Amino acid sequence: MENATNTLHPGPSFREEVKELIHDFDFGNCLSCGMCTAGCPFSDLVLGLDPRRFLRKLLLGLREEVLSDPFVFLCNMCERCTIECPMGIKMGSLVRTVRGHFYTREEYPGFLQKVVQEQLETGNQMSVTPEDYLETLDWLQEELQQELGDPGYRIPLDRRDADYFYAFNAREIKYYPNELQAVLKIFYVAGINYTISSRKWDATNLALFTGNNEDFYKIQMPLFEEVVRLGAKELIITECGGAFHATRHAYRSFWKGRAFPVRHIIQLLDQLIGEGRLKLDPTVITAPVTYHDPCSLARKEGLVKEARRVLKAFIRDFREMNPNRTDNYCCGGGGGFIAMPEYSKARIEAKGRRKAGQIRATGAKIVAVPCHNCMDQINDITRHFKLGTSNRHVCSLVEEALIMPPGKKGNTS
Amino acid sequence: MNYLHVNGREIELDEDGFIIDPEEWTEEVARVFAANEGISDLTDEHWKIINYLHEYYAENQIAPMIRKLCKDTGFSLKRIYELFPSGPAKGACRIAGLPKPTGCV
Repeated sequence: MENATNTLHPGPSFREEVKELIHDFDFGNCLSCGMCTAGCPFSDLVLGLDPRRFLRKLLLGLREEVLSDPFVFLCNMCERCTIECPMGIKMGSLVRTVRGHFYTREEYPGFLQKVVQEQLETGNQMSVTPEDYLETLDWLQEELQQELGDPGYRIPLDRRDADYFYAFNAREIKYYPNELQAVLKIFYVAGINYTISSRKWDATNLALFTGNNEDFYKIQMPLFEEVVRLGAKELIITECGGAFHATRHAYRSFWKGRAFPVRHIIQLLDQLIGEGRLKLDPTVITAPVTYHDPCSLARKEGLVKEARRVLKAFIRDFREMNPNRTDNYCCGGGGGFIAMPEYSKARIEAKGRRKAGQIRATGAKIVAVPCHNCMDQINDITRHFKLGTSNRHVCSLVEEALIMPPGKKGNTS
Repeated sequence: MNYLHVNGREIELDEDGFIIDPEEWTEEVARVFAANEGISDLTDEHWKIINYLHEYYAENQIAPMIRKLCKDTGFSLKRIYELFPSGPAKGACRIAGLPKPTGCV
């Protein structure tokens, strides 16, 4: 046994190197109990997905063995294992650190780095040009003027000193402007003083998943600078777990400028419903609804209660998944896994099975999903396992149940 | 490797079920893709969108903005979702023989 270990070239230097990179966070208190592997929803479904084994290699300083371990990219960084770990070891941070510091940009799987590159070059992950962006907004404005029966309706672009700066995902411009339209309608009805930017509007940051902090910083900073330039009081992020966690993580790690809160749109909806600025009709959606807690929202950013309050304000038959809240299972697409097509089978057929079972057991007909990434994964699972459920963003459900204030038209189509 | 079986021909697909070589796309391929999406009958409206997407990609090697698609074909966004329930990116683009778009879609 001793000989076998010797041939693996263990040494303290690699472990020390990693420890330093994560600001001396100590993972040496691992008890090697295996609760991480037991807590991982996918460890028994995908070969090589074993957090305990990975951590042991890291602790022994086995550089080669760590860097060739498929775990590095199979892991969703969902931190379900951390929930079970008696020592609270943050596996997500460890995996991100290893990805970011010991692989070159060319070595990242799938199209992760391609998207990062587009973000670096164009400021958004789908290389939407400023002209196409503004034209899409004009179009949405016309659609909303009609829908709201208000020819004077304007999208508040670059409004100074607004209460809220709304940032979203390039997909809401390129492919799903109906989702942005629903949000703008909600804002209109609530009558809030907000703005969106003509310059920097995509809040996503795929370097969250490559772990390359140089790219991460470069992608993130322009958004914070734009919030300051426009003098907005708060930054509100769309229903995207990655964008929300990336923005908060970057804010905590790098941002030295003017302080402002960063909130997920569910938190704003919760506030607006609480203040009576949004009124919702509880008779509109009668089918049973369940809610998927994205890892980036629940475990990483503590967004749990607000989502329940929003949904229970108008959903009569609300059903929790089991487990739920910070114990919930990852959809299987987190950590950049969807951007690695070489793992699509493992993602949908193996990992997806866990979430499919969870959804099916609720008997719900609608799954509320407050994250674009989870949405794509859950759509793939729904199709593959023939769940027959309809997956909806929370804003889309809220918009459907909106009660238009007297004097405002806005048919809910 | 995934394949789409079309009249005894095997069309190579990527891991996410998108065509690898757009040159292999034919109208028959579109019909098989559509059937797999649950669209059993492709109407003139479907074809207008499918042909637009296919030609746009051939010219630009990128999928068009949904704004452009609506403007150039005259369809409303709502109608596009009615015609292609899985949406423009994953539904219509796949049927029209475009490779899988990168990014969060």
